[in-house]
Amino acid sequence: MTFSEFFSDRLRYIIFQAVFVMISALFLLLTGTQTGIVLLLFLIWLLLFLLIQTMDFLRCRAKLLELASILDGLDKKYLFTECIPKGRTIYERKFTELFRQAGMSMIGAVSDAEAAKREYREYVESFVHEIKTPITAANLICRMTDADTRRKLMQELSQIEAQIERVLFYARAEHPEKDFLISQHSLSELVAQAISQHRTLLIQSNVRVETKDLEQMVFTDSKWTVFMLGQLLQNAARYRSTHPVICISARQLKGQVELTVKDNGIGIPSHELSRVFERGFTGSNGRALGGSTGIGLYLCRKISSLLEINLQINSTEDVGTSLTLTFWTRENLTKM
Amino acid sequence: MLQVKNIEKYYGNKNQVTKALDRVSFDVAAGEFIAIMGASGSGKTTLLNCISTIDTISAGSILLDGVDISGLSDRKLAKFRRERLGFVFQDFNLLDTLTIEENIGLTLSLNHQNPKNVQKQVEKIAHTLGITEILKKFPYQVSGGQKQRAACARAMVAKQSLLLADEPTGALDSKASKNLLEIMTQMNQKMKATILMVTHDAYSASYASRVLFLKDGRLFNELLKGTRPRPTFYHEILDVLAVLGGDISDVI
Repeated sequence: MTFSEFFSDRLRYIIFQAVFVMISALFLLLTGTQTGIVLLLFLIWLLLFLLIQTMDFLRCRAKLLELASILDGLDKKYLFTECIPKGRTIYERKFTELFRQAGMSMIGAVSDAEAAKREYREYVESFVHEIKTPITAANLICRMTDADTRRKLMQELSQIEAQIERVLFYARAEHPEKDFLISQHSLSELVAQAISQHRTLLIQSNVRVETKDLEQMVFTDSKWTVFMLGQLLQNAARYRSTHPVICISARQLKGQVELTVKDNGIGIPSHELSRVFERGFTGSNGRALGGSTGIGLYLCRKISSLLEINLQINSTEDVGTSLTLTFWTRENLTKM
Repeated sequence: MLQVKNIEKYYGNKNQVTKALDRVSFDVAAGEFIAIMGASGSGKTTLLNCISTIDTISAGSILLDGVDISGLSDRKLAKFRRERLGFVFQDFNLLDTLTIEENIGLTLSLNHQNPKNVQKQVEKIAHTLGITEILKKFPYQVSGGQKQRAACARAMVAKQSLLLADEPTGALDSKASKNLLEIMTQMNQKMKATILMVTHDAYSASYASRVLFLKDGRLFNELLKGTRPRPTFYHEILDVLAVLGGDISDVI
């Protein structure tokens, strides 16, 4: 608060005081008091008045600065009303009491929303856990049927499993950092895991997978990375052309390793390319093919940014799509 | 008669905010004897302070006798506290300059009762709690156990709805503790007093019909005595405490 702001707030009061003093001075002069005495009285009043106003101003300003610094230091700013001092004057106290009650409703609303979200997530996690049993049972039952039925059923079952896995990761994606375990892994190992998890889909789609130069070590969370690679493989297999080929290669950059997943599928139209990472975006390809949720790449974007992995996409319609994931290697850890 | 719904309490000053209570909810029916247990720092004193209107909550609501106390003004809160709540503290908090009789009668005087009735009511409750002989004595002249019984009398003489006890046996030896807890049980059963006792002593808690456990500001577990004898209940409480953590010294 500047002095002029303070002054303009009190203008009415100051004008009243000044006018009254002027009238009193005039009255005293007219009724015979000596000019010197009136002047003396006036000077005393002026001095005291200026002193009190300055003290008031300094106190108000200090109080506002204190409140501003409290607000500044708070992470959850809606807790402001709980952290401020009660106030000296009765007016301040009644004022802060009203704000406290308003703040109370806010804190309650935030807390209720967080609790509802947490309960829903826990429900989803338990659902995923429970559903794995019948899927495993169905897989086992498959073995007892003839080869043709088995092949078809297992294809469908693996699709169910892929969706379940995605649901789980989506539910966890709010706070994936709670589930992070960063360690050193070999890219070839991670890629192999992803391929193995989706081999049914890849085989059914007649996709040929080529890998090159994957003997690189990176620092990342294996589970989340394998999940991301799986999403990329699923996309490549879905939006494929005839004679589909997926090429997974890696190259070393300064302090980083760049992994590329490239396919020769139907590609993404250039006017949709910048939107593929948006939640729920299915685009024209997703509509044409059907069954697209628009969640896969959204999750990849979310997870990659939390893991400090740079995720880029490039695509040409009818030619193919390539995604690059840039991982960190040891030399950069000290900088982080 | 007491409904605690999703209460939260944040303590904050300049830059540090601590969450003392995290969505605590429970109900207390009239005539129940409840114990709240937890290690130091679990939030049990904060919870008691919030229920007894000494402190305000950050979120949620507390309904006492159907009244939402989180919305009352300071003056109304004081009146509510005076008329409906009784307190028993660990360090007795009797006024040294008044006799036991005057200490007990103080509640009634503060509630603007007719002075003639005050003496009669004091004598009545003193008789129920067995402290008639010490009525004319001063607090420093009587033992800890007698002082605590006087405090109980003071807490119930105005027919308060809820008795709040904060570690009532904390400063008493084992015999006096047993005595006091039996008195409190009597108050609960004969006088139909609703009692909420905060304690970290499993023995005291075993006298309650229901025990709530607090950990890190959250309700961790709840035990009901049911028709079981007290020693069995005591052992069950000890089992929960073993899981809750804290040193053995917290249990004694």
